[in-house]
Amino acid sequence: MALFRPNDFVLSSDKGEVLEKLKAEGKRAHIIAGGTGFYELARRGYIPEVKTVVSIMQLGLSYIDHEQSAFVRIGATTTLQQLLESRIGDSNGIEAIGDALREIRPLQIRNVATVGGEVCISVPIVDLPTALLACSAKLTIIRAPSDKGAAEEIETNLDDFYIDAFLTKLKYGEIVKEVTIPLHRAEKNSHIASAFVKFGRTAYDFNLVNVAVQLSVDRGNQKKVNSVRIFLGGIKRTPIRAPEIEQKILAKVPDEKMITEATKSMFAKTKLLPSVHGSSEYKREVLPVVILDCLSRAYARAIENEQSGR
Amino acid sequence: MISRVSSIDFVVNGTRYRNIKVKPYDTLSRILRDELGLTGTKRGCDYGGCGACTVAVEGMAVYSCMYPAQYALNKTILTVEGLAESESEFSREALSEIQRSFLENGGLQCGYCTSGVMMSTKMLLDDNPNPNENDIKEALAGNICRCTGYGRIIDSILAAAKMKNSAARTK
Repeated sequence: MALFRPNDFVLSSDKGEVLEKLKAEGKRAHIIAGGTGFYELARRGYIPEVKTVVSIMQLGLSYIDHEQSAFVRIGATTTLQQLLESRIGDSNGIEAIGDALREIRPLQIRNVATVGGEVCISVPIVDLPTALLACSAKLTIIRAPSDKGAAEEIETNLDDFYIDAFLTKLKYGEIVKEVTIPLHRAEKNSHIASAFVKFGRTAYDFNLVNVAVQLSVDRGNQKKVNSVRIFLGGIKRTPIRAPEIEQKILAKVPDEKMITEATKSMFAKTKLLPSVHGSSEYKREVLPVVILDCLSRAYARAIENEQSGR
Repeated sequence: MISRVSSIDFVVNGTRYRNIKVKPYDTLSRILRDELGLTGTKRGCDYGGCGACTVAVEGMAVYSCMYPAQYALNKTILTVEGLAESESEFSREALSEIQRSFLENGGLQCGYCTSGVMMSTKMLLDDNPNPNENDIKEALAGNICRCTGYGRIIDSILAAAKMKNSAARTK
């Protein structure tokens, strides 16, 4: 196994210099935030080519800003515990974020791991991206200046960010600055809610599969689903959306049979990502149950939100 | 300004250390054990799976095996050696309530995980002086013990909470 032996560890409070360093060094440099994922990869010999570790922890990106009621902006180096303690993840419509944060254990990890790190590491075993995707999160990326220009900020939907395991659309010389999550997206005549459910071997383990759902439910007597976003993690190399299941429950009151059949039909011929802890066949059996659980929780919350007038 | 961190100043168990040399790949556990000789902090899995290396940084439980040594710059660290009231005196009375409780309630067998478990306990009781069994299980989710079966660890923590609260009342 190749040893991880970088020559340099850089801590900087200047975004411009960090971006320049990352651009100049290319794949020889690696961004580090909390470091929990980074050191695990390093110990396993996955990043021997890294010669410069560039920390972004002093760039002033630790904040949670929800002064404007339309969205919440979360700085990339905000720790998972800070986000959990802020309770913003329990807000109407984005409860999936709070659910996911509570499922990320242990505290030793939540105290150090960051929101930006969870988003950027792009491994199927993490939880927060699935919840963020269901809640229509966007990323703000800072890009190193071109030869003559200034550093620029670009916004991208998280839906478009993931390419493969360990591979995102982030290029050398770019860092994720913040995650933005829309709040109160309910339409005039509906109530919105979301949920996240993780299935792992133990309460403390990584997921075998996880599911996040955000839906809005008709305000009237019929309680039909007006809109829905379902994302699944742990079954492919990146989180995926489940449009086939979404289509089946749109404009209907979801029931167990409908959800189970839609899930089974979507994955009947697909090989799901196996691991030593769960084969493709095992995950195929488990998945309908987890999706049903998650959809039921989100739906119940939407009804509850209506009854409580939220 | 770009800053290459090759040495750190920090406070460990109340003692200020200056100009401790760190390599770009060093983690806090290596510095504590090999440079400061504080071998109470154990290296188990070395990538955040077992909790034997748990220490407190600025009052927060962290895995020191995956905490960059550079991040300890100007921070205050507490390790298991800092739990006892006196480092030099090896008497039961000099131990903290947590240590005494583990001793009296059989909260350890081989002892390898114990320093990490005690540090998680310390952080739990600082936050929540009256934890119930579920609070304890949640706080210990990141500490693996392969000997005790956890029952006696939980008993020890419940007893430690009582001991601490009773000591606080008598003060």
